[in-house]
Amino acid sequence: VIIARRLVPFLLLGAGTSYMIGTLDTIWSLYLTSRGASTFAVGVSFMAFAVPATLLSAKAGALGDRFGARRLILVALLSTAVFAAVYPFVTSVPWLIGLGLIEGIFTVSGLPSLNAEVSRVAEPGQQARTQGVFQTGQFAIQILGALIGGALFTISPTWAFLAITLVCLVGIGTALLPQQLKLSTGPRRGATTHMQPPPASPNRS
Amino acid sequence: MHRRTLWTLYFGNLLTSIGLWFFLPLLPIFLGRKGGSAVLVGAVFAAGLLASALIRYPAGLAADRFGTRPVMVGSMAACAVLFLAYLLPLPIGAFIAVRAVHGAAAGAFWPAANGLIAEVTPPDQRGRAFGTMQSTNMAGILLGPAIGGFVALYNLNAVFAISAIVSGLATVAIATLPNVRVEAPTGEPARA
Repeated sequence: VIIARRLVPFLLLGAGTSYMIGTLDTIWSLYLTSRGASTFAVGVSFMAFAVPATLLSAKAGALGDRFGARRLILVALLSTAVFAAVYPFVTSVPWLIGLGLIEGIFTVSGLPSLNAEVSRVAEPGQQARTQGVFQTGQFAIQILGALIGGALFTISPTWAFLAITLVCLVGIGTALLPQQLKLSTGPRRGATTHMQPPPASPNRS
Repeated sequence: MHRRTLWTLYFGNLLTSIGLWFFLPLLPIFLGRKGGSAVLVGAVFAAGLLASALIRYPAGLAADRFGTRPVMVGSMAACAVLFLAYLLPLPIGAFIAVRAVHGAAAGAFWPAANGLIAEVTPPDQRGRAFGTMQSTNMAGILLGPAIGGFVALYNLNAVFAISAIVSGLATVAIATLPNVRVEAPTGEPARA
């Protein structure tokens, strides 16, 4: 419970991305086919999202190390919020695939930094269980995204996408609370962290 | 030292991800050929997701207590063996339980792996380390379905056997990693 309480702000920060994944997994192919896309185009669109994640995640994480997690997480949340708000008004399938590619580039930029931040607040000797609690929370939000997104989609695709924007705005608000959430601002800029990491004393057997 | 540890972990994770995404997109087709309905396919997938989510805290706790290696090796070995369980002549409803256990086995890997990354990486390099881990995962998502789809053209059951072999190789790679534990701050001795 103590770990979960400590991770609440980080779950709020990651909620936009987790919720977006849950929702888009459910509605993206339905939305594309409703716009006239073939199944091949649907496959390409998922690939378009995954390729930048494969190629750029390490670089994005390194940028987070250098410039601070807050900026990277904010960029990811802002881009997800904007793209989700734009999708309902785009009718061209090639444009939707292209936008997905660009969104993929920005969205992946926040996740490595977020994981790094979670590792910073873990108590000594509790890294793995802290990550476990965080991942369970992310899964729960993802499942909510699938359920709520699917339900909203039956009413109107616009509502399903705008709900993603709304969840991202909650994360952006959380990221802009520097007193409550001391995210790293990069080691070269005088990092202020929640807690200094434990001295590395791995016990190898 | 930590570079070798990380790259071994990345390689093991790439194999794991390929193995998982080799079979996951084909599972609905496999179940459909066995007479499973769309509702059953949904239940099978939901069981896997739910079990994967629920196992994460206990797996993390175990990794903190006993070290990351036994959890990762156990998780991957179970994952490899459980691929073969799909080939058993089971009643169709039993695949919900199989997928739940399989999802739990796969999910147990992640807290231990992320815990290992956090323990062996200096704080100012963790973003890159977690990012590379994410890259290897996404590479598996890209490669796995393509290769699996090609293999399934010839023999759908072979997909499960090949996934088991790939996960077995990942288990071997991960078994070479150091077993990392951090002593409790209260001075409680770390268990051997």
